[in-house]
Amino acid sequence: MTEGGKITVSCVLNGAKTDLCGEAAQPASEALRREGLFGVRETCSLGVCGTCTVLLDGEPVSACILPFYALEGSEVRTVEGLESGGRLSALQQQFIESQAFQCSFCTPGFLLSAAALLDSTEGALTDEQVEEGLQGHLCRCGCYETVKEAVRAVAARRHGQDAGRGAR
Amino acid sequence: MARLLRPETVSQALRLLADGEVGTKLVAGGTAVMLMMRAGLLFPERLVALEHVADLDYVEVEPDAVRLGALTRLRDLERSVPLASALPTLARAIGFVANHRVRNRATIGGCLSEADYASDPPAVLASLGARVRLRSVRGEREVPVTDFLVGYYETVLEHDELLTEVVIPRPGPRVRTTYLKYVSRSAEDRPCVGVAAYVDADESGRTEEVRVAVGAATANPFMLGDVAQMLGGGPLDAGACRAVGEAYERAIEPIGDVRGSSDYRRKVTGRLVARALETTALSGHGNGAFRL
Repeated sequence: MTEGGKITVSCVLNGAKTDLCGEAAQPASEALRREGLFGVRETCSLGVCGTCTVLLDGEPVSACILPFYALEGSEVRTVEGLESGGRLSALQQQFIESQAFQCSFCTPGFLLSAAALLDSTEGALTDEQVEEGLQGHLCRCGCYETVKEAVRAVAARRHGQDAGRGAR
Repeated sequence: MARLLRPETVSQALRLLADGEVGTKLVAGGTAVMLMMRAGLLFPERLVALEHVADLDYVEVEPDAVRLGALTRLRDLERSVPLASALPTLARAIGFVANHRVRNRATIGGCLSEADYASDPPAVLASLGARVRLRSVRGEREVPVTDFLVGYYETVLEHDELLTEVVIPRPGPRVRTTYLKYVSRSAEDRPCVGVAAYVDADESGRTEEVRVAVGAATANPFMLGDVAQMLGGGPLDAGACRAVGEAYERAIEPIGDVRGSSDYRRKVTGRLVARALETTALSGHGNGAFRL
């Protein structure tokens, strides 16, 4: 048990073991932005819009209504942690190719929920699966169709690879 | 600045609650408490974070009842194969709450203890005759969900009590249940009105027990007494479904808010109750949950 207003939490943040200091009940989004992770964007502050999405132990959550203390002992991933070695992930690259954004404010949230969806499924995805996985992400430019197209394309490509392996 | 306490067992949590310190708030997933703190409605001096309390995260399907640990997350409940098999309407309705990010954090015990009127699970649980188990250092008691919820954001929980389990009696094999969620703003909104129906009828269609709970329209799920009695044990045909809908429309006194005025909700209630009963008893689509 711990007491006191300010607490330190230890977590694995975008792959690196990190200690963060903050108020126990402050929104996790604020603490992460203080770390310079500006891909965590807060808009509605109600858990509705999806722009502050982070992956907590692989599952998407709204950081604006996630208490800071809940980061303790968890693996946290923000959009900054999707690329590796300066190279965009296949999903990020496909977002560019499918033009799955206009102003891009909502893009980090979409990317993280899509990454979690792709991680928790195998092979090609149906429209319904993609819509369910991207539920509750708002895009005011209305890029939903190209976002879905991008996610389906990445899923279809891995499906093709799986099928290829199977055939050999 | 709130102090944080992190009990790891139920008895540790109960001992913390028993010391009677004012300004203590329990937090499970935090989705509701964080909203209220951010809105300036809550400013606790002491937060008791329950997420590391052991042994309250489970779905147990027994011959007569389904037991849900209070700290089971809504996302895990909606994905639970045993729950979907035993109580399909409840599992589907839980999947209608907010969005997957909220359901990844929110728990069933937190959902009930918050007692928000604009919520899907309470009406379904009320129609199923669910009970909640409340524990304190003084002992424990079981209370029907319909008695547990007593007002807007109000329950019968004493300050030293913790909701530890939801117990749902398993409906008999001929029972059919339905939940209809009607939203008036956006697809992921809270319900404007939600209706949960439970119909136990024999092969000839004669009704033994009919329960209808209207959620999100009043402080707590609104139920008229024995609907089957109202039907005189007769079959639930289209006319009877409409008649029950009309009875609900006459009796209910709904809240007016951003999701609809009181008068609007009253009219929606009448239509939705009739439709929920038709879906349950007549359509062959019983045992499901649907968004409208």
